[in-house]
Amino acid sequence: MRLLRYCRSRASVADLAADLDLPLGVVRILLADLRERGLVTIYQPVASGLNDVRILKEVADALRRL
Amino acid sequence: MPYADSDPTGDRSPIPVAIKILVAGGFGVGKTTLVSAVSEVRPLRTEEEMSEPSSLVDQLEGVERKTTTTVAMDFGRISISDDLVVYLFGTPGQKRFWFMWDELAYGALGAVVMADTRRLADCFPSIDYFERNGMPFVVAVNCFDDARRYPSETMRSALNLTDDVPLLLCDARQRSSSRDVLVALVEHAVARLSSGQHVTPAR
Repeated sequence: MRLLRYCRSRASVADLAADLDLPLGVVRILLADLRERGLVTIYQPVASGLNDVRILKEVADALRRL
Repeated sequence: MPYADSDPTGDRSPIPVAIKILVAGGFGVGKTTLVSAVSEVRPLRTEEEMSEPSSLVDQLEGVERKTTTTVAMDFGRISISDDLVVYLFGTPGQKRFWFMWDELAYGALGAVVMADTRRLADCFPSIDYFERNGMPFVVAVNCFDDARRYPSETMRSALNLTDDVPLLLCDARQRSSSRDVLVALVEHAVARLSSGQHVTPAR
């Protein structure tokens, strides 16, 4: 299954949907099924960056170099 | 946003910090163009289901019961480093898409509200929304070739913007111009943070 192949390395659900050219909702359901069978692990995102000035400055600097 | 991994014993690298930025504004204002101009991935413009923004923040349980109204959404990505990624989500600003904003805004760093001087009112709902939620946002006036230019003070007053909200002119077709808009937003968020206003999930 293509989805599992893409899941070999960690990927965001949005990226998986983009790679597979499937609607995000479809990918979520497929992932939920895969998780039930113990085939994938779902991680929650790290959200602490929003209040970390150092990280935000890093983002701003990187964007400037685009 | 959630990350999936088929091999829990394999990749032990830290989960990347995901910075989510929203691009809002009325229909045809240039959201897709702006996201495409800066995104490293194939600019994605897919027909998505109404429930999908929640996948950015929610667990996967229960999605089967969600409604499936179809809307268009843009998705873009900028990798800063192995452990830091910026995601851009372009979302329709029309009132009929209101329902998806709360989910989409959850955990976002801030928003770019795009405006077109010929249809300025189209961005009012977006501005209202981010003001109410206390989310950092900048207004980017997309300078269409055939649109009249106005002094920024005139536009500020037409949009009823407070002094602290940055207003920029941009050309969404230009990568450098779109990049400058994103930089302005991040700097605005930093400035707010430095003045003691924390970014809180919009809920």
